[in-house]
Amino acid sequence: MGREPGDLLQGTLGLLILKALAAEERHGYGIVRWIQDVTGDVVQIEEGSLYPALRRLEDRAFVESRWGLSENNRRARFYAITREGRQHLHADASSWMRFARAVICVLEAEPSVV
Amino acid sequence: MQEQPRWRRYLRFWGPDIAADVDDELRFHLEMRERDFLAAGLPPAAAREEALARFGDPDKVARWLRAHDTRKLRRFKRTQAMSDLLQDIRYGLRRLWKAPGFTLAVVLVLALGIGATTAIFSVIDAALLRPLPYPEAERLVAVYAPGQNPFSFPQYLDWKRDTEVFADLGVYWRTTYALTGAGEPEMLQVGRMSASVARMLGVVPRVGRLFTPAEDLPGTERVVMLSEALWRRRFGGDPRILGRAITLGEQPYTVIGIIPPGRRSTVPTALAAAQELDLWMNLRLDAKKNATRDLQFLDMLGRLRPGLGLAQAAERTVSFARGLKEAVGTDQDVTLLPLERLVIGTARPLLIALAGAVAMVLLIACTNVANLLLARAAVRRREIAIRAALGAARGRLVRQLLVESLLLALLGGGAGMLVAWAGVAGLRALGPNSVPRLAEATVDAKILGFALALSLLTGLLFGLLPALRASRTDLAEVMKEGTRGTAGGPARERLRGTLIVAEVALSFALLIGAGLLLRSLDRLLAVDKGFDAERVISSYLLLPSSRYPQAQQQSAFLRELRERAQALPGVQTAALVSDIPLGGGANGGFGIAGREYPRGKDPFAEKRIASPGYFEALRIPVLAGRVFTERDITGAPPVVVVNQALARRYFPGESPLGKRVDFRWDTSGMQEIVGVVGDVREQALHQPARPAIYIPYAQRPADWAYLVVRTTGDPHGIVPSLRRVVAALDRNMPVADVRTLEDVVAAGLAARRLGMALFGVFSVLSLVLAALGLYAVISYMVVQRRQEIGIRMALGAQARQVMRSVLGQGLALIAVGVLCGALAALWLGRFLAGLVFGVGTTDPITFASVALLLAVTALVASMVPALRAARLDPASVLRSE
Repeated sequence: MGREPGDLLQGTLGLLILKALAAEERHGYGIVRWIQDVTGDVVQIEEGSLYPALRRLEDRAFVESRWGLSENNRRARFYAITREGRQHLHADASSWMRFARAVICVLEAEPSVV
Repeated sequence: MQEQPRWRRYLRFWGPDIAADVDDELRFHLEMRERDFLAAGLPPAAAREEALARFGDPDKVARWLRAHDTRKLRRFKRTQAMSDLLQDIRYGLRRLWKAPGFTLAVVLVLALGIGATTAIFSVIDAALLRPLPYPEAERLVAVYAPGQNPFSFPQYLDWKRDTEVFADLGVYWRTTYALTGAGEPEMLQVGRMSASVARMLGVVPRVGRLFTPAEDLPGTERVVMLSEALWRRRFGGDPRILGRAITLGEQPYTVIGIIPPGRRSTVPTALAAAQELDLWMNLRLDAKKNATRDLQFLDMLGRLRPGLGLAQAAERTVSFARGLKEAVGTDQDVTLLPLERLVIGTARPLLIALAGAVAMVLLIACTNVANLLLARAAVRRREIAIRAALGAARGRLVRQLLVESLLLALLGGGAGMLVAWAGVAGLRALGPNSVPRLAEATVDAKILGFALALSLLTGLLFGLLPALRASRTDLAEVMKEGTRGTAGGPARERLRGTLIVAEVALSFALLIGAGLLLRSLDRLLAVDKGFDAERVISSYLLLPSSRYPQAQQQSAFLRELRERAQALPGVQTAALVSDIPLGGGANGGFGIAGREYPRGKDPFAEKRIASPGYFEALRIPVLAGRVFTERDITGAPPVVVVNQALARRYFPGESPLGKRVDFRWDTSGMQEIVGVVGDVREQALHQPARPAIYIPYAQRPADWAYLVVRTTGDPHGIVPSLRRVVAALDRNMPVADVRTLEDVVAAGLAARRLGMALFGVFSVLSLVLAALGLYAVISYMVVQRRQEIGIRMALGAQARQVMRSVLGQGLALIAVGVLCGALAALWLGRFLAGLVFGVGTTDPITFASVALLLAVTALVASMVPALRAARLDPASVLRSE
């Protein structure tokens, strides 16, 4: 697996977005903030790339969007996860977790490198 | 309820401006991020910089998003449009289903209109549009002497030297040969042709080979190619026939090939006459025996040099002809006729007139349907107004109505194809020999495409106006009108009136066409043919030179035949003639004793050989002197009989009797004119008689004759005994071309009858449609005016007055329609100029009768609603309002 950590994160951007929307609908910045807050700013995505990713998710009908008012009464586009989105999130998250656990197992094996 | 399709959800946020939305979204993000950094204590400039750094390149992202959203919107719109269309179609079908009477009426009218148009188009396609079946047909020309006359053999040899114009030149003529030796003797249709003609026709033999140029020459082997039909019919399709000899006219001919069936298997003149050939025969013409330039019987076919246009080629032939004239002395002018002109020839004006007529029928059908739709739209005004009020866009409403009329048109077109299919079959059955290439007319993919396009076009034509009009409905006004609100207002009534006027005008023009053709046919039937065709039957006999090589034997056979036929019970007169009337025949120059004419300016006449009794059998009147008797034989003084046209033309103011002429057709010396007979139309019914000379068979023997027999009873009844007489004289001689002269007359009228019949059908159709349209409009007006009529009657108006007022409305429409129609017919008459005979295209009698017919029809059509109006009970009308 020649995956660089950056690639891994890019590829999982969709997964992160869906997870961000799992609890409630958010606007784009809301998604970024949620990820930032949850990871303690460890995962820094290039915020511009969020939007094409959202469009792709929308094309695949995993999210849908509407125009609404933000918490500070600004016009903002809100995204919500769809039923298909949830199913996809569930499947993708499980396989990601399995993969991550496997990587952790490898890294924790003797002799320890961490 | 059906689940809402997913894409409908997108409708909510797609505003008119994708770019602005994208900018808003990204700006919101950047500003929120900047605000958070400010809150975290960064200075303003640093906050903005940091926000941008985190974001990446906003312009690049915005561009990507804009492109993506635009694409998606476009896709969405397409889907939306499709779905709306499907919805409209479903809705339209439901509406049509709910009004079966209306739908049926419209579909029927359209089926007739589209069907008739398609049927006529398929005939025109076969005759005019489809290229001729020969390869490079556009470079093939028919070459003719002035007056579309054929050539003599020496003329052909002259022209063959003109290699500047023609890449290839050949001659052919149609003739007949008796096939004997294998079952019943049979007369075959033969095309005798040079090798070059066979080559130009582009036929590929099924088996065997084509003629070689060497086989054009005299003294070569007699060779033939059989048509596949003949091969199967007479020789059981035996492939070993190649190289074997068959007996034609008592001579052996070697079969060298089989011609596959199909349109290339016939020569142009046969194609023009819608005739098949049984076999092809090599030219084998002897220049010595055919040295006379008077014997013009060859049809010339040429292929122009590549890159040479018709006009250029014609120009060059003029200079070549000038050279020939200096060398030979006689006029040598030729005309080049594009082959399709030769093949279609006289049928062209008829086809063009029919196309015009059928287009008018279609227009009338459209007008009628438009009128029906308008009436229906009037009823639907409230529905449409309510839909408009509920927010349906005007475009959507127009489309909805258009979809409905297109559906109607397609239904009508579908039914019309059945009509077209039946129509084409009917046309082919009706007049197989009336229009060249009619047999090729079929309803194929192209015709179906035409019908489909026509349906869509008509749908637009009759649907657009009512749709636009209906969609302009003013809601408030409709609602104000309340329950009686089916009124269309004056504008609508004017429109419907205009449509009726158009319908009447179109049917007037059509009826004029039909009337003129009917009168032409009538005039043609009344034409003095110069002979009496009733109870006369004719048949063709050809004496093979092997058994009748000498004039003496030929004369003896023909005399014996005539005597035996004459003796048959039921025969009034039996006689012989070289060509029967109405079919053309031999003609050429002749001499008059004591007169000199410059070369090429000789007196010209039709030349016929006739036996005693011929003029009696055909009841051709003897005007002066005598006709042939049994004493006019070899050795007796040579005599001829001339017709009145010749007497008037060449002997004006004097008696031709006793004058001497030179017949110049295998005769020597002069003949004395002993009699003058009435003029006979030898060419065609519509062509006045030309000068003609008759010579007795006994003094100018020939190896062929038409046996014409006037019977006392049914002419067909005599045929078996005639056949027995011939068989008793010569077992191997076929009796060919057995027809009554009445059939000959009728065949000459076939194309006109077909044209007349079609015009008749079209015009009656248009008359019925116009009458129905008028009836509908007047009925509708009566319904509109119920209240007014009720009030007037309550105030003392008589039923008669009410009727008169309603009838007046109908008649006013008709009057305007007839006036417009008359003007149109005057102008359109030019297209019929080539078809009418004996009447002008502005014939006042026809115009007056048609106007009267329309007026009566209109009166009848308006009478029913007028009576209904007069019977209204004013009390109940007023109560109901």
